[in-house]
Amino acid sequence: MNFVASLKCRECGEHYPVEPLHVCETCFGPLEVAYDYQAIRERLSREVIARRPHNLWRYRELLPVNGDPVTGSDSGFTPLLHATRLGAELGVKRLYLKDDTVNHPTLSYKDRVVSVAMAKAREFGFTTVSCASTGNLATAVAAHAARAGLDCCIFMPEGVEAGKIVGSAVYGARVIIVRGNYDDVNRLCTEIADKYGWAFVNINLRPYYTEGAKTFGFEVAEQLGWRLPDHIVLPTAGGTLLPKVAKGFHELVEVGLLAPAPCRIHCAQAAGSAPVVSALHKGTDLITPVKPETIAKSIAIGNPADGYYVLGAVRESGGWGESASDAEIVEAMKLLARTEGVFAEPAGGTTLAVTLKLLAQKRIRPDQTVVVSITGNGYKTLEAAAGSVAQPLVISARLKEFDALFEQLKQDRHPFAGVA
Amino acid sequence: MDRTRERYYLTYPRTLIREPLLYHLVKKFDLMFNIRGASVSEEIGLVALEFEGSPSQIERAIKWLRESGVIVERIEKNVIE
Repeated sequence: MNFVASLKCRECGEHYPVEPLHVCETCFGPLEVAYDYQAIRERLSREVIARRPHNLWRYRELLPVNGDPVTGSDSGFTPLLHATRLGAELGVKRLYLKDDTVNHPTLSYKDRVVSVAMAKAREFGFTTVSCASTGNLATAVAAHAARAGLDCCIFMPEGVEAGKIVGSAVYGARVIIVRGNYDDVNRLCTEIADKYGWAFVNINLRPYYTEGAKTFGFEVAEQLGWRLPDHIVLPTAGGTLLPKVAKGFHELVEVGLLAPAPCRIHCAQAAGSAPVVSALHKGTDLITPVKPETIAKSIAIGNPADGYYVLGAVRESGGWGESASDAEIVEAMKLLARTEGVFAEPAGGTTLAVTLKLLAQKRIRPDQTVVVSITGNGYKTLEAAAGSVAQPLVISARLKEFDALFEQLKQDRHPFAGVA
Repeated sequence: MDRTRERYYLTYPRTLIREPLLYHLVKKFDLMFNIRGASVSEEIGLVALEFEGSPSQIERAIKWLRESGVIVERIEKNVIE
């Protein structure tokens, strides 16, 4: 059963049929999926959800799909870790990590949005799916397309690391490198989306694709025992995730799964790509594009498509935004790995580094419930941390040499050298 | 000649709000345009519009607008994620 009422313009409110459209023909505002919440309220309950498999489709009434999904049976429902060791370091008892480093199949939150896009691509009868990407999105689209049996074409700007190309091409996707700068790639892809009958997940399927991001928020609420945290810190790149988590929280209240409660939503950006945080700090709606310069490549978007809606969602919730330097991001990645055994990509380091700042600013109190969003896996970006971890000790394969090293470590009072 | 339609957001900084830029644009480049949305405040001017013309006319017009200090973005803004 399908509970989607229509597509609706976020700006002028005009309604459109459920088709591969993304822009209001009248005012050019972005389109968003509108649901029949009353019907969902009658059908969906905590008990119904609890009986379903642990994947993102457990909230399917609040996702814009008909029939059975084609991918995503192992996507979503990632752990909400109670971070007791990290919390002890920060003095926060109820600190949680929403851990999409272990989202499947491609280890980032993009598996959520792409699952929904892939289902819609099949429903609309597309045979080729596509996107423009430098990393996580490309990998997710390629992997889900392989599972769905759809052809896949990925566009990348020139200069992308070889590993990123392999990460998509291995799934059988055709990778096309576009000469020119990012603006050129943007223009070309929107032109191709207009001209060719392809499903560009974040262009002509964007209203559906972005709905998948709500599941990140649904899961946080469910995993906290159907409660909202006092604070959630989310990274912002193109601006998909944060406003959709906010929408998801509102929807849970709307359909009777949650009691209304305040939850401050905070935006985290890398200092080298922080147009939304800058606008928040200036108190303006004008987001001035920047040229990204940061190790946090997965959130290095200087001109976020939905930045305006991030501002709105943060302000409405009473939240705030901060940015973190590359050095702060790497330190936070190491802190997270050292205390909780979670190796995040730099975007995760960014959200933790920003959480530290919000605690220092007393915007977050230590007695409150805090969720830090970790949206991608550090194994995909090993180079980001490579220069800042302890170098290995090298010895020959002789016990005597290890004995000497052990004595040295003992003198250095290294923890594993048996010094009580 | 090929004609095409392209959709853009123009963002004017405060210093340019009083300039009749679109008038000059049409005179210089012989383009058609249709404004779909606009908002002008003390700080900024925002205009959503559709240009109609040849691809090269539109390209030159956008270059001129940017050189004049206007931020010109396709309505999709960024699609590389």
